[in-house]
Parts: sequence; structure tokens; C-alpha cells
Amino acid sequence: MTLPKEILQAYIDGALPPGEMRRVEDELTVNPEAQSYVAQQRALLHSLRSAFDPILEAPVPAALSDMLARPRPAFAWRHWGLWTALPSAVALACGVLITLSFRSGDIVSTNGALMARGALAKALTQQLASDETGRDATIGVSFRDKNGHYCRTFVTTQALAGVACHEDSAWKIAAVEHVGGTETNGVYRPAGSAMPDFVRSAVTAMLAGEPLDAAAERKQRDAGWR
Amino acid sequence: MLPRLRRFAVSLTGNMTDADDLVQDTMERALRNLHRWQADTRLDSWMYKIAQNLWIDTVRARRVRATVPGEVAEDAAITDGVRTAEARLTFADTCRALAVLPEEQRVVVSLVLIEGLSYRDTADILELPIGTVTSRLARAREALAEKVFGAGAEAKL
Repeated sequence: MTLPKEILQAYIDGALPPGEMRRVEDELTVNPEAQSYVAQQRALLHSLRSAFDPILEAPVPAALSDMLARPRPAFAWRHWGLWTALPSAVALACGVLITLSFRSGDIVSTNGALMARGALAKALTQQLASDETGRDATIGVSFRDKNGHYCRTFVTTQALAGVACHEDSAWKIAAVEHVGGTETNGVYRPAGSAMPDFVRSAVTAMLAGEPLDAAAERKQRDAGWR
Repeated sequence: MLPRLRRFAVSLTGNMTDADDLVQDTMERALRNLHRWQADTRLDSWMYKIAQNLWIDTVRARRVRATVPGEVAEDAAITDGVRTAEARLTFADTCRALAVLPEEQRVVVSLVLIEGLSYRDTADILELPIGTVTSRLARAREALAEKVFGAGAEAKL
């Protein structure tokens, strides 16, 4: 019986079915050449991992944590650290969630998805794009996405701009980011154009047909975005 | 996820500065495109894929692989005072060996050997057949073994 390198490689990487793993182990006991190949490759693997693993423990530069943790990096970073112990999908979602919401409570994570809550959810459900006063968020365009859900762009008083879609009676965040801009009397105005470019490109990617006009927007609002 | 993404970025770029730029670009693109991520797929795979694509773009734009490999070992982020000179030497050797691999082999090494992903997940990220992943990995392993353990160290089977 011979052991091709592809098999030994798969053995080292644990990519063989259990029966095959045992077969290779048996063969290794009587095949010194295969044994030495495996030993050498394991040493290589160890060398690679020990070279790069310290990065996992290294402090993350402020530039990166700031990006996730504006406007209070140190606070958010502690939480991020806490969540990295969770499975990765949840970890990122939670990282984003904590980052974005500790200040506003507008966005939370449910089963790995980001959902609008509180004042933002209320604005998404009730507010029209034409509404100007007494608000926590500004609503931009409303449209139907390719999955048939109604979606709306928003900018909150906490400098979050994004898109949310109404699914299963809740607003799921499809894209969100901190944006630059100015705050006047608690009302947030994004710098430059009304919506950041990335929100527009997200909308372009998601859009089915045309955005709703004011009459259609009011009609869907009254119908509960179903 | 962020530390793992960072490790992946260092193994791709060969230095901390480019790696952190890459991680930042990756996070930005991911946050902006959450709607494209399908909830039934692995988020880490998706992030690796974004990072990989961004890095390929960077390499094509620059046509260089930045800085001397092994320089990373001098980086304050890694040399935390605990690591010995011997460990740094190993790191520099390993880094240098990794750095001379062709880009398409290095990314396979990064994903399978360093990040510990399965052949299947790696193939999905790189949009390659599994056979291509395993053959690139085999070639990379031989080249690395030769660099790290010296020419002729490769066992003849």
C-alpha cells in the first residue's frame, strides 16, 4: 500500500473520513518515510501557527477600534473583547451592535441580524419622508426590494445612516454606517448630499422597480409596510 | 473575528501597516454590504473573501508586495517582550518563506494552514475547485518545507 502526498496532506489537515484517518495512522507505523514527511509538515504547520498566532493576542490599533467604536472607542472596545469569545457570526453582529447602539439603543442584534429598535423602529414604521419635526431620525427613500420587502433609508440623530427592510413585523438593518455631519438642536444633518454614497449604492443593489412616491409611501405606511 | 481577520491580513500582506489598512477596508466594505451577506453562510468566510478580493485589487494596483518580510517581527504589536530572539528568528524565517510564495499559493496557506479552514470553505472563498486548492497547497507546502528546513529536506516517498 502506498500513501500519496495528497493523502498525507489531507491526513495532517484532518480532512479525511474517520476510517481513512485510521488507515493512514496504521500505515504510518510501518512507513518511516511517510512518518518523517508527516513530522516535517507538522513542524511547518506549528511554525506557521506560532508565527502568526500572537497577532490574535496583540492589541488592536486605535485606528481600527475607533472605526468600530466611534464616538467612544475605549468603552466599545471592552465590549467587543467580550464578544469575540462567541461564534464568529454572532461576534461580528454583536460587535457592530454594541458599537452602534451603546449610545442610541436604536439598533440591536437578534440571532445574528441587526434590527432597528426603539425610536428608530418607530420612525421607520410611522414617519414619512416629508415629516420635518419632532423626530429621532430622518427618513429618506422608501422602496420595495427584490425579496418583496419594503425598505427605507434613514439617518438618525446619532449619526447613523443606513437602510432597513420590514420583515416579519420588524425592521432589519441591511446596511448602516456612522456618517460625518453636523448636529443642530439635536437634529442630525449629514454632510453634503442627503444620503451617503454607500447607502445609495446599497439601495441600487436592493431596489426592485422604482422608489415609492409620496402617495405610495403614505399608503404603505398606513397599511403597515406589509 | 477581528483578531482573526487581522492575522489573515498579516499573512497576506506581510506587514502590519498594510494588514491594518486591509482590515479597515474590509470592515468598511462589510458594514456597507451587510444586505449582501446571506445569513445561512459563514460570516467569517464572507469577511475573508472580501479581504482577499481587496488585497488582490491592491496587489494589481501596486504590482509590488510591500516591505521586507520578517519586518513584522519587529513590530511592537507582536514583540511583546515575552517572545525570545529564537522565536523572532523562526517568525522571520517563516514569514520570509511565506513571502516568496506566489500570491495564489500564499492565500491557500493562509486560509487552510494558518486560519484552519476546511478545503471546502477555502475553495468557496476563492471560488476554485477543491482539487485546485489541494494542489496549490501541496506545491506551497513543498516550497515552504524547503525554505524552512533547507533544500533536500523534502521527504522522498
